[in-house]
Amino acid sequence: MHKPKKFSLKNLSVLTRYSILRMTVAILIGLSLAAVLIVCTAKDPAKALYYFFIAPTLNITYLSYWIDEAVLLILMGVAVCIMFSANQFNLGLEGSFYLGGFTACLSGLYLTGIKDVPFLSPTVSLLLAGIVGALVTLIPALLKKKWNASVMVSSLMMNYICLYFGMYLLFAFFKDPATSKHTYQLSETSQLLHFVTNTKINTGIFIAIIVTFLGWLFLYHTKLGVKVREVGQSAVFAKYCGINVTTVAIIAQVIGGFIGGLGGGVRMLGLFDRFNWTELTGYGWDGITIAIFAHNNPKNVPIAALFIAYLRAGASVMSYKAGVQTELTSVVEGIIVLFLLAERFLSGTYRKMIFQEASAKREDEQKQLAGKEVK
Amino acid sequence: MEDYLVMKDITKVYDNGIMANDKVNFSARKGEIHAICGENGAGKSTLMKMLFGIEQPNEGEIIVKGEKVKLSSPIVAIQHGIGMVHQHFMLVPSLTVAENVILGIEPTIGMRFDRAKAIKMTEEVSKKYNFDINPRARVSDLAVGTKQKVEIVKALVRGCDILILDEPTAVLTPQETKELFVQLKSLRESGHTIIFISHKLNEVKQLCDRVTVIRHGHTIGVYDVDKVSEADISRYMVGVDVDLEIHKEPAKPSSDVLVVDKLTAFNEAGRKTLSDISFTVRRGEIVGIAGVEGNGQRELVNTITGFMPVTQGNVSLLGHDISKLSINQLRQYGMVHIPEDRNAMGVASNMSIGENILADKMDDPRYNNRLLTNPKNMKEDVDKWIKEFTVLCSSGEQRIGNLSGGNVQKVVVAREFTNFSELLICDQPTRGIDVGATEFIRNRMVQMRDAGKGILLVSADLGEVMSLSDTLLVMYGGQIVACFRDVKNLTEEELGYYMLGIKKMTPEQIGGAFYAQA
Amino acid sequence: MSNFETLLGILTNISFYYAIFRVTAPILFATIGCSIAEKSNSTNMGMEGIMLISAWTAVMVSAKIGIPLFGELWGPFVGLFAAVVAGTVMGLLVAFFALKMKVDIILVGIATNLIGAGATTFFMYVITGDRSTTTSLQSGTLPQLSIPFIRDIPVIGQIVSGQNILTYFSWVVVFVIAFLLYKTKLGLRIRAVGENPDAASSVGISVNKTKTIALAISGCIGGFGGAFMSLVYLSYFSSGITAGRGFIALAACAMGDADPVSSALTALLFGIFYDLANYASSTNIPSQIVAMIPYLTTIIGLVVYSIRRTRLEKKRLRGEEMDEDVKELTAEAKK
Repeated sequence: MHKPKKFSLKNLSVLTRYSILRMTVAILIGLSLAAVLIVCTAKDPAKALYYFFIAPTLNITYLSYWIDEAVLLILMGVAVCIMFSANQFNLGLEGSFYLGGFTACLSGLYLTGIKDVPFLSPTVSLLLAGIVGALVTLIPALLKKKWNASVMVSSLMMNYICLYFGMYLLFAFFKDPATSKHTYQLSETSQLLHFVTNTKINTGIFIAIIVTFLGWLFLYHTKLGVKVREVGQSAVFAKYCGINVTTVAIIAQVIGGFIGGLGGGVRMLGLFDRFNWTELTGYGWDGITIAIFAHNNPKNVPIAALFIAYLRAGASVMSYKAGVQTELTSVVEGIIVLFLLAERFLSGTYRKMIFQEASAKREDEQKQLAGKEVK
Repeated sequence: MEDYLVMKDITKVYDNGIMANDKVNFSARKGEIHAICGENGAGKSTLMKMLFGIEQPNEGEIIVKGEKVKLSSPIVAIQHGIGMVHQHFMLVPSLTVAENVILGIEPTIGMRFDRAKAIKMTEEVSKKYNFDINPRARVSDLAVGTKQKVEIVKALVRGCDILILDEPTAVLTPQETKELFVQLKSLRESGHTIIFISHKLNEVKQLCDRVTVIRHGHTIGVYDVDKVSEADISRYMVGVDVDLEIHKEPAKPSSDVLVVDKLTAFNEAGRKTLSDISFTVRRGEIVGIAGVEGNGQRELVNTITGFMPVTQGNVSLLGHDISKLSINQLRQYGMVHIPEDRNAMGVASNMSIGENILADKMDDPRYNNRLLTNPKNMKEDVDKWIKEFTVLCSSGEQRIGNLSGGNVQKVVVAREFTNFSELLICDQPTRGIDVGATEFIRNRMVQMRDAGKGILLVSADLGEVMSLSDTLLVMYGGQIVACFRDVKNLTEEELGYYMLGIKKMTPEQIGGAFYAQA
Repeated sequence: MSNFETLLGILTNISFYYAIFRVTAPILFATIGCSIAEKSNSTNMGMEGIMLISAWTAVMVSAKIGIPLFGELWGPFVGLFAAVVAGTVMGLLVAFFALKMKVDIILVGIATNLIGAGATTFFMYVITGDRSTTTSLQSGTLPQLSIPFIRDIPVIGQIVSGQNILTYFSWVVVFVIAFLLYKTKLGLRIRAVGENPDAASSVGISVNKTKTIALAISGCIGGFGGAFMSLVYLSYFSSGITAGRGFIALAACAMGDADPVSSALTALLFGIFYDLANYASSTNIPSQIVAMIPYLTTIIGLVVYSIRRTRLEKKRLRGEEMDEDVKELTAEAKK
């Protein structure tokens, strides 16, 4: 067993120190860019900056935006962590999320016998949402297995197919005639329990926490999870070890799709009482952003999600109060991602750090040798 | 001219903190063939990379023809007359010989690529130095020996008079090697300087004028080749007299483990790669397959290990038809595999040593408590095996990518040899690794044989395959062309004739390879 | 009227065929852009974002600089020029992050799409105060070309002549890039770098420089595609105007094995289905199903292509079929 080391910066390996440095700089660059954009485009820059950076801490309503967004980002982040850990670039979570949300709503409206039972109704709805989400990512996975068709391309197409198919069903069969594009209204029992008055904060939080824990446990403490990561590291190596690479890859994508559908369901049942989505939400792509921040490890997802969600909540309030558009955050997130991943970023500094350490080691060795000779 | 090329006090530290060269000194004369010998990890590849501009030294200087230079890239090195012939060919398969030869110095008419001129340039140089190559042929269709000629012509066409050859004979037959040596000697006569990197001490003795020995990133010394023996060089490389002979008892083979019956295969272009291969591996015997790389060994091993399907013919492991088995099932029946390409297939380089050793054992109940894994047992076994297989590392959690080739191979062997095994497939098991690790692995293989396992050894190292095999097969052109029972009295030259396709045994003689007990 | 009769009506309508080329053009630009990047082994996942940014740039420059300074005819061309420059710059930025900073190129593409979508909407609002379209601006369109002689040929004339100038250019680009790849020194290097970067760098070719050039060209051509959307297809920019065409281009490129001519033909096929979708809205088929058609056909096309490929490979592995080239060479070798 390890001897517990005193935690100090010096004890971390050069590589870890370097990673932390890079992450900090990337975030600073992103935030500075945000500040610059706000100052340049806002009618009242001070007010805008104030709300952007502070809003979520001001009152419970703004805090709830933060929490609600974080819940969704956590779920999508874990979903992508699992898929990316197997190196599967299945980009179909937009479709999973969309149809997942739709399924959850329909289940809450039409499953007689279940829809009026508290707790059971949303649970079943979410499970169904997950299953539908899993099917969405399963299709490209199967196409790859059977005919070696590009997962990336087919999953991208699936997103649009899901969107338009869902919209077709909505307008053709499930629209409330009294509205232009909404379903009928969900009863409260079918929605997720809201437990903080006057906000939409709901039991989705607990679902997010559980999913994160299970995701981490799966990847690092089950044999299937280890195999998923081996496949992700090197498919050839995994095959050589006797792992059925295609099956494991499919399982990873199905799990990711399930959680993606679950995410859609949580959004639907936690934040709305009718389904009216007529666009892909973008949460599928967000999952990728979060997974990148988390280095594909579910245990890092919550903090990454809370960070991004904080920015978005702030941006949302800022847009409402000071008119600066929320698309700002997409730009900032994209920039942070790029600098975060840039392995060569600050590489000059890194090389110097390495060389210094190696030289220091060499000197130490020589001193020891000299010391021995003297003795 | 003395000191045509000088590398002075060269130091190089890699990004992962490893100091590959520590104040290394090297110099070569004009019109000389100079060998560089050293174990893997000793630093000779790094040194040559710096000479060819692929890497830059942290400290030290390089002086070419009396002028201090900074070789910041291959193109600068080429401008100074330094050309490199790499161990793994640097050719673009879908382009022609001429296109590959002039890549980087393409002749043009305005924007257009001048194909005719490219062909002419190639022909001029190949004729001048007597290299027989067809400029219009597509590189993907060439034989290995021809590809190497293209590489050399590539360097000569650019006016290089200093040629670095990195393990050039690793993929050649004895005859092709002889031919190469003749050409290298003639290049020396015309004033070229040849730097010859090699493990093969007998070739260094045959071909080279001087040898520089590098060990652990330091220069040990420069010697005139006719004043030192192979044993001397070996001692300088390792610091200790290494016993190159493998001691083994005569084999006592018993029942069949692997039966290959009329195996035939084709590649993606529809070409036949294996033709009616039939042989047996029995318990307690080492069957070696010798042959120049590219004669079907890859396809044979891929088929037996489950990477390629059996399309025609039959392969059975302990009586089970492998065409119906997955790789996982093959392993369950006792197949174990040391792959030729340890970096691509044998390990996951970003994972830890422990994760690599246990990678194929995850289904073992010892490592699982119902749904979750059992880290305690996992660590226990990993630590035990790291010790047993003398893997040099700081702990089982260390990332495997930082280890030297020999240690990585020991991890592979640790993983494979600790499995339940009946048939061991060892593909180039000691290629590119240091003498210590090589000895260890070879001895282990003999131990496994004596414990009643069957071993299939595929190796391009003639010394290895001749000293380890109980039965020796030769593959040429996708067929088995020879089967030797009496390996002790076989000469390298005789073996070379079969490897090159000059001789071929009769089907009856080869049939002796196939024992299948009725 | 039954759906079949409507379909027949569509297929006998000359403007349907005219529209095929109009609809194909942006997809074609994107496809050729992706193919040259792909040949250098740098998948340009960010084509969607690049097209969005170029489309936005075209409109903004045309409306704010082009038309005020150069009038209604030449103004849009200034916008086009700016769009192409923007596309090239984006290509260079992708190259910078993917090659210099060593970010996985797929992730760079995803980040590009994210930034492209966000920045275009954000700055559109900043400049026009409108979050969804730029119709409040006068950005104009590029002119159509009426070709003498050809326009008088019955049927064919009405299809081939009178297309937008950029539409004709989209096909010119196919042949320009094909020539570039197979007949020039740069093309040879791009292919070498894409196939065996070690071989290329060992002869002093800068792999990164070559890939950067390929990505710059890719972005440049994508710029034309983006400009087409906002200066020809529509006469304004709207949020998400490209609607996944950048992704469809990836599919067309994959199915054409990144060869410009094959990929172009695949893009044309998708264009035909896109066009069909537009015309099919006059039938009883619900508009959402109609909207699904291009994506559905892309997936089906991808599957068909993949089935053919795997079948061929299996046949060869069983020794039942040989490559034409291999037959030739084996015959020659035997001489």
